[in-house]
Amino acid sequence: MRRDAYDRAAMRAICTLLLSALVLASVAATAAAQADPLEQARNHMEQGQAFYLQGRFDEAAAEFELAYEAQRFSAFLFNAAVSYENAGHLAHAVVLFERYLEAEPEASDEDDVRARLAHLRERVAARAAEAAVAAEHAVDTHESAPETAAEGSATAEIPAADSAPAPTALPADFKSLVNVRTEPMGATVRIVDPEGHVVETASSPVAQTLEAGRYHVTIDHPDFNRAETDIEVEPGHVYLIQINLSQGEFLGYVRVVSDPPGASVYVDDHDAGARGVTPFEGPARVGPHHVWVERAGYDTIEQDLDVQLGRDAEARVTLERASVGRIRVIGNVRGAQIFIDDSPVGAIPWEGELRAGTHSMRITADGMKDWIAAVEIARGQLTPVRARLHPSPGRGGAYVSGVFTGVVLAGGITMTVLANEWSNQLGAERAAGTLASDDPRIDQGFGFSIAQYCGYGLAAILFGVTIYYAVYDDLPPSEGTVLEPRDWAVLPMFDPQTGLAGVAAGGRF
Amino acid sequence: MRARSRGRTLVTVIAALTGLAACDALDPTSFDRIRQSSEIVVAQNPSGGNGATGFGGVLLGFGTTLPDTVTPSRLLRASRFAVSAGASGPYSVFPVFDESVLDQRSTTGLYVTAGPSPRYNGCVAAQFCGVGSSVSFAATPVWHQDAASTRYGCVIVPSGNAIVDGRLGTFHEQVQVRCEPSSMSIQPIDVPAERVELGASATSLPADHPLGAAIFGAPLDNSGDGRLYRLEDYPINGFIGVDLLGTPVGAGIGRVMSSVALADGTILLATTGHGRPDDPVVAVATIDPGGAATLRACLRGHGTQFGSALAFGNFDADGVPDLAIGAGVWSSELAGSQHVDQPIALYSGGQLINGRALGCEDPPATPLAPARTLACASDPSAGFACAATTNDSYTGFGSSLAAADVNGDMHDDLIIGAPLANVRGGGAGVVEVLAGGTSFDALGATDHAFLTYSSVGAGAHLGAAVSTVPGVDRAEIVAGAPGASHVAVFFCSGLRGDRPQDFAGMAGVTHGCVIAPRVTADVDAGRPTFDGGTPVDAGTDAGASDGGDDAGDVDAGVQDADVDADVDAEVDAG
Repeated sequence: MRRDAYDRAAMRAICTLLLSALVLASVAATAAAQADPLEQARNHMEQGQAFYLQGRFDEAAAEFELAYEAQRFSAFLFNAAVSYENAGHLAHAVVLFERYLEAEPEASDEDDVRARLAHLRERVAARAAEAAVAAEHAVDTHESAPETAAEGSATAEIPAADSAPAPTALPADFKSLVNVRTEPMGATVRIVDPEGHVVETASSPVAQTLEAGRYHVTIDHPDFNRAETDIEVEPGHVYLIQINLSQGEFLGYVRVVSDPPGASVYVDDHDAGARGVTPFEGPARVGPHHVWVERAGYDTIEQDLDVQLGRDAEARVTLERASVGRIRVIGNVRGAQIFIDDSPVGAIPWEGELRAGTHSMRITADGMKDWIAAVEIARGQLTPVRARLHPSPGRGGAYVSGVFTGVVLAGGITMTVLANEWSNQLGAERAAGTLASDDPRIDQGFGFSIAQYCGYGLAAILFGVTIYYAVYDDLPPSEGTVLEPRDWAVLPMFDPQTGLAGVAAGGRF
Repeated sequence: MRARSRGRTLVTVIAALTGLAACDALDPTSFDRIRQSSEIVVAQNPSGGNGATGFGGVLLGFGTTLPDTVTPSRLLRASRFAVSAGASGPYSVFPVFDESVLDQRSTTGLYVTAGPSPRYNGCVAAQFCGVGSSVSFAATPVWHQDAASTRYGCVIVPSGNAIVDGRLGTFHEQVQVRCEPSSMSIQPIDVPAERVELGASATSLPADHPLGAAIFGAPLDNSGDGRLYRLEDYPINGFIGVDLLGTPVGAGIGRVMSSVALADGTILLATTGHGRPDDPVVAVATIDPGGAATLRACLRGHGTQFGSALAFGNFDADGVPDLAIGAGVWSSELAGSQHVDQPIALYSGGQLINGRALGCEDPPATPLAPARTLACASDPSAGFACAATTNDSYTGFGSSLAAADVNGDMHDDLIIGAPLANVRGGGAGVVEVLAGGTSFDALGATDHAFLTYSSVGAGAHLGAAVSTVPGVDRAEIVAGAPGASHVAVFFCSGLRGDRPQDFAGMAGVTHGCVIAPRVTADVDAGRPTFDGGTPVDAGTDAGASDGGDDAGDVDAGVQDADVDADVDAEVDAG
């Protein structure tokens, strides 16, 4: 099984090593390609070749011109000119050769074409002279009139030469078209002829008219590996070369095995995400690599691997439980405050990481009784806690009676102050020998002193009531359960309501 | 958590406040102790039928004897004061000391007062409380209603509007004799003359004196010259006229009166006549036990109110009572007015008792000069300012007088009322005490005090009437404040050595006046002596007149028969 995977990967690598696809025009022909101008040109090119080999040079020339209309490559003009020449339509041939030279001013066969063109012009001129003589003799000859008219004014009314017989093969100087496309575009394409001359150097895509022969094509891109290939160009064909460039090559494998398995494996770039989970194997370039092995609840292990050509690099790790654990607190009062070791950490529901060991936990909420418990946090495990808070008795009565206690007490204190003030004043009067037995302050002071004790007594009663209301509790205490710790894992999470994605530590109760 | 913290804080605060407050709480009984230890006991106008305005305007302190409730044959001494609002009102009798209480609580010499509740209220029946009633008081320790009935602690008070012969009577047609302990036993006695204002003044006589129980003045009698009437005890139980021959015509004597018993039983008497508004006269006479009256002198002094107050006291330590004559006048309308305070004239008793109608000529040819005059003296430290000019606020200095030993130094002191003085408020009044010595010049020279009290206020007119009641080894000052309907008993004279002092640690007593306890054991009963304040037998012939038993002595020097302007108006109208 692993061998198959290896083979597939190797094949995929090899295929993308130099050429992702080399499609020859004669092979690839699909319906979808009909819309492609190049394909149309190629089709007309083939049809023209067929007509040419059948000796149907006019039709062949027409197909070549249609091909030029579809894709303006000078090769089509040259081939059409040759077909017209063979068909005896020398004037047409001259015109097309001239257009060829205009399209390819620096064509490698320029001299030959010009010589050929000169020759054709001579023949046209000779044909024209012959036609003038013949016209004088055929003034009365009505049979030649239609032909003369058929020649038209454009051909200078030169009579057509005799058509050549049907050839057995395409002429050797028949031009071919080579089209080079790369993925990505913009690569530098260089075409070298058999003599080692550089025929073309341009950025892809490249379309080049070539004569028959063997050429070497080199594609360079600064971000990709070089691609090279040789092509055999035959006359009168359209070649389409599609090259997918590659950035590297995989020549080795990385294997990671962990105990326990299921750990995430990161290679070289942690931020790029996990490449897989243990047991893990995957191709890697030759050279040094850094590997992270992570598993929720375990300490992360990092290791360096050296991948050598054709050899696997394997890492076997034993994961250790993390020194921290997680705690998840749920309860019947959402939003109840959670204090761990007297520090607020959050509100129900809450999950967080704690140092392994025993912690004191208190959960409190307004109007509810606190729940206090000692929680043992297991190393690298999730400890679920379920709290059930019960209402605390209302202390409104305590506060009301407390306020009344304060008011009454304040009244008593006021009475005490007044009584003492009166007592001091009366004492001063007595010391001065002016204190009268009916001094109203005596009765007032007496009243104040009585009132103060009444106030204190009432305050004491109210104070007792306050204490009673503050202490009395007929409701059950809050309760909770600390469940057995269990493993936990980081799972992908997606909230369809918010559209947020992330990871969540998961466990099961 | 926060709520719990708040709760704990609240509890802590409440507990802390309670603790602090409880530590500072004052025992209600402390105010009882304050009241009990107050040196000034204020008797207020009793409610119910006796609430006439001006309570305290007429005042008489006296000592008496009362039968022991356990052993009726045993007589126990007591002191009382009678008080009324003046003419046409009810009166009340308040206790001050009772020997039974002294036996139990006063062995240390500390003064103990009975409560400010009246022993009884007199003149509760309308027919006995008509116009002119309660305008003066006399008292006698013993009254023989008949051969079988002896009453004790009696108050003799004029009453009017009695039904006589089926018609409403007129002014002062009766006097009532009301005694303890059967205070409801009232004996009305018809007056011998009508429309003469008999009872405008009164003075008490010693117990079982041959002249009777009291002497009353009738300033309109005798064609305006005035006449005195003595009220004889059983078997007469009626009035006998006493004429002071030689007094100026139209003097109207009997308006104000004071007397003192000499060692031989002779009564030395002074009475004021305001019959001639611009020429008031104080007639001084002696009445021997047989009833013969001898005019000794006619005294004239400053102002139109000369003689408005009279008091006998031994101011020069010669054993003979001297006479103090005040010239002040007061009424509530005079508060804040501009009058000049008139001096008090002191006359030597030796001159008076030996005179023969000195200065009684009309106009006087041989006027008797006072031994000393006591001008009003301001004391800024006490807030007392005399009216030395007509621009000053009038104090009424000398409107009332009394004399007794109030600080236990064996010298009579002079008590002077200034009811319009601005002490503790405008017109609150004050009582000045001048310490007596061995001479007239010593009076007030060594010490003086101004008495007031904490519950007095503006317009109280403290000192409108002053008197003394017998105490333990000394007398205590009683002063009326009719503006506040108060009568205050001052258990401290305010003089040096007689000031309030704490008695910490003394069981049952926290405060009081300190003087050296001079309780002299009674040879027979072993009880503390009950000094009436004026030593009737001191000096010349101690103990000769009553066999050394002065238990029944009445303070003759405390008689106070002030007559205010209202009374005068009514008299005139009558």
